[in-house]
Amino acid sequence: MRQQNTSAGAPYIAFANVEVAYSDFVQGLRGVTLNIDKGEFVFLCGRTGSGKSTVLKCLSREVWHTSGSVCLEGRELTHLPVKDVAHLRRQMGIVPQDFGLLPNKRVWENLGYAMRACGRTRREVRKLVPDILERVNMLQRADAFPRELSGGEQQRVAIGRALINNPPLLLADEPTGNLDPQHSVEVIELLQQLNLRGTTVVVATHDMPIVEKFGHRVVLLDEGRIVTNTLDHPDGQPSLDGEILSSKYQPQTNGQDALGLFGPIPAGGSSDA
Amino acid sequence: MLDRIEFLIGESFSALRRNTWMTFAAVTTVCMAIFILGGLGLAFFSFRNVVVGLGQRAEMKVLLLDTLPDRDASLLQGQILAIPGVKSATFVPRSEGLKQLLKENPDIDVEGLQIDNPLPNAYVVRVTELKDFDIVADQVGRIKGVEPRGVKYPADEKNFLMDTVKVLQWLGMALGAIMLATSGILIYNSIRMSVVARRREIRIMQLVGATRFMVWAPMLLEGIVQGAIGGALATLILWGAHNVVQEAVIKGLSALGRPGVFPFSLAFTVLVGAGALYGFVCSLIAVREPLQVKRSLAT
Ligand SMILES: Nc1ncnc2c1ncn2[C@@H]1O[C@H](COP(=O)(O)OP(=O)(O)O)[C@@H](O)[C@H]1O
Ligand SMILES: [Mg+2]
Repeated sequence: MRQQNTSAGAPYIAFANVEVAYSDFVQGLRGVTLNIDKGEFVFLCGRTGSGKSTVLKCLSREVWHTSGSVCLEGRELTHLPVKDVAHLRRQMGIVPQDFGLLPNKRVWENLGYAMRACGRTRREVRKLVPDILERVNMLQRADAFPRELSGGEQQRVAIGRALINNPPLLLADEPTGNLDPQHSVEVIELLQQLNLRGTTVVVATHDMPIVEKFGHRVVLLDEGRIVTNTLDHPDGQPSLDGEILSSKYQPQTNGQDALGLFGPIPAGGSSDA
Repeated sequence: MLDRIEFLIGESFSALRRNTWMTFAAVTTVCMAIFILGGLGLAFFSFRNVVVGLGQRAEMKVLLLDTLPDRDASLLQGQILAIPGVKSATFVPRSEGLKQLLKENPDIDVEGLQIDNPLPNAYVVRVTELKDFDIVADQVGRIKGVEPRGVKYPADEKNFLMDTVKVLQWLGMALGAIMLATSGILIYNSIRMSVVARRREIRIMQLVGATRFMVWAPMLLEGIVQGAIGGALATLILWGAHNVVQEAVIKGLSALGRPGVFPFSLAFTVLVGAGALYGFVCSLIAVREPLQVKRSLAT
């Protein structure tokens, strides 16, 4: 596992030996230690069931870890009272795996509804929604219903909704899961833009071609453990490269690699489509 | 703040509209429960009037010994009035009694019978409160000069009335309790249905960090509105029923005293308030469950 290399204080996100037991037999995570700094862009990779979503849900407190500790901005989340979860979630943007759009509400209403639920006024909604839709490049479809949108557009609306509280942290679960390669690139580019403005972005995905293409830090999970953790730091810290990623982690021969998910990173020839 | 309230109200009313049938069922049963229980309460207060009226009306006839001279007889009035609970004591000389008897039963032919006036001197005694009736009767019976067992009153009639009221009260309370339980279950169900129907919205709200108040208040409000509407309807029906009863029955028994004027604004406030509170409690129970499920992973 990687050692934290920043000299400045505690990392933004810190997982220490986190275990999540969904039941006596189902383990979501089996001891994950992971640090993420403010402003980073991290891909959580791994095949289905490896625990990517569980890592994100530990941060958003949709799941309570059974042992270890999860810290956000130096704040221990283990004993966070349920009543404080709402406040915690307003400090992060969550893009769920299904987009979670309300089918009977228009695009702008989807954002407006979420804002009103967070206690914003109508005026604030009128003022902020166009800004946010502009940022996710959906302003021209503001009056459309979700069913009238392509997958990529729906995903952008979902990202827009995650921005309503102007969060410093964005958690996206399989944002390219249902998209064709071109739309996938667009969506990740959008997340990257947000990252350039200072938002810390954590993306769970099994879309390896996309991961390679963008070359951000990769944390590879398997069966609830971190297998590989690359760093792509501006300060020149040697990062584990794709070679290690591919040599250390050879997938068991099952249906999974037919998708080409776990092929060698630099090759990337096998497309997900 | 106003904006927030508007949002919550909008949310809960859209739920009420979506759940039309369940809402209808819940509202009508709440209404019936409150109607029965509220009606009992009202009947209780009204009957107090009636019973007091009955006390004024209910009189005992105190027959005096034949051997008592008329002059002494008239002196007993002071003694009777001294008994606590006695409202009035009117002396009815035997001649007066005969006149009354003849007036009430014109077909008796006293002259034809060729006898003297058979009636004793008597007092008509009235009590202030019906509950004192038996005690007063007992004490009057002990006064010297009163014929043994000479205190006459329609005891059975009085007891029958009291018993009927009691039975009606119990029946009403049992029926009201059943209705109340049923309406509680119906409110609970309709709120549960709302939770299911709104699960997408609830999830999104929770995802973007809406407070628990914002997430659950619409459902609580829904229950409160159902209860309050039930209470309001019950008040109206009760009002109508009161007027009908007043017209039909009480008028016939007007001698017993009149039931009070229907206290509309008081009844409205109390019954709507009770309905709202009940709706709130039921919806709170319905909403508590999902909150607990959320916590179950936290160990
Ligand atoms: N709510 C849940 N209840 C029980 N088991 C779960 C639940 N969520 C996830 N799991 C299990 O935990 C493991 C990790 O799941 P998850 O984090 O969703 O993986 P990923 O997102 O990488 O596909 C899987 O074995 C999955 O079956
Ligand atoms: Mg997942």
